[in-house]
Amino acid sequence: MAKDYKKQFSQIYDKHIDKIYRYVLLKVGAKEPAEDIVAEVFTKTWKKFRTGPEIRNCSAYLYQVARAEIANYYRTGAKVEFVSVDFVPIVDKKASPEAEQTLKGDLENLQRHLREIKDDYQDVLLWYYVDGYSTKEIAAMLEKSEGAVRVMVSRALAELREKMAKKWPETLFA
Amino acid sequence: MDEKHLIGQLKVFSQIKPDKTWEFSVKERLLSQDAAVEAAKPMAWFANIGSFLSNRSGLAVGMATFIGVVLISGSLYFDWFGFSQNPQSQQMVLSLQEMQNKLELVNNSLDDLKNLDNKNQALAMAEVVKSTVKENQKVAQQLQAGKSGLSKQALASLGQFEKESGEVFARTSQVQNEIFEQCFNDLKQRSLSVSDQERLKQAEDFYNQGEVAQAMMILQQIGQ
Repeated sequence: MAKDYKKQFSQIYDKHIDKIYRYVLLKVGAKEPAEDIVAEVFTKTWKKFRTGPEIRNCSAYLYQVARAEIANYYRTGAKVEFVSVDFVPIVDKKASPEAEQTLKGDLENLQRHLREIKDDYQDVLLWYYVDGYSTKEIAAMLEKSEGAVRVMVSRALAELREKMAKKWPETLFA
Repeated sequence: MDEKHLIGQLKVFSQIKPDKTWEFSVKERLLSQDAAVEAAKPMAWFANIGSFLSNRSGLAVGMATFIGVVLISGSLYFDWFGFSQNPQSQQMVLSLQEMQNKLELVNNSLDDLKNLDNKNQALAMAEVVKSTVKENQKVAQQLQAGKSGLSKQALASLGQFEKESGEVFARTSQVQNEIFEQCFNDLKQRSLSVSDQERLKQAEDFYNQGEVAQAMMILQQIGQ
């Protein structure tokens, strides 16, 4: 029994670690706090997995704990930071230095505006476009219908575009 | 910015990944915490280790040391998380060498286990040692395979530690088997009740199938 649940949790960890880390890093903006938060998320989940009632949806549970830990982090007075785009390897080796700089600038810009839309919208955009969850999987996590999730994704994207379009004239001259 | 371009940029964030050494160390720390709980379970069989020691004033020094190392301090568990956080640290390499000394101490005390009056306790102690060194050996193997950030000295220490852990595991298994055989022979000499005879047979069957923990549990019930 003990070996079974260790193996099960190990599989859950392997499946989710990249996604939870990415989610937390994009929300808190700094590597060390992100690592601490993610470690705490999995510690709490592991404890629940061993001792508590069965977790029906592990993905949903992990993100729920992650959100709570991120909220605690900001409650302690941590400042909002943005992930240095040096964390994001630019894979296009043919890109010129200028193109690479432009892309890095765009990504920083994107990150800032992503933070301006509401949390639920941020989450569905990250889950759908960054982590590749299907609308069905997101619906299960949020306990909503697939239709509702598709609408959320569409609205979230529209809102993000709107934020970026509005701010663009300001940033052009910043 | 059009939608397609925006989606393309969002997808670039999917390239963000955690540091592999960190990822591995968190996982191992979590799962080895549970190994500590699992390995400690046979220790619950010792109702009162303090009175056990005080009632045996003639206890060999080697055995007392063995008990101290394994049961009281729990010091056969290595701080793998700390090691992986700072693999270059000389302190970590020294800690690893200290662990090797403890392993040697345990190895030298293993024969005394066979002389312990209470065979069930001896079997349980052996099981605690086995599970602990096995976990340590596994983690040492994985860290060596990963190699990321490890100094040559650390790798050498890990290799030596892994080898010695394996040797202690093999030796402890051998001693445990000898104690089992002693147990079975002793019990067969006695006049056991019908239910105890059945338990003895069950325990032997589990032992022959390699189900050591189950065999130990059944043996514990004999005579109760």
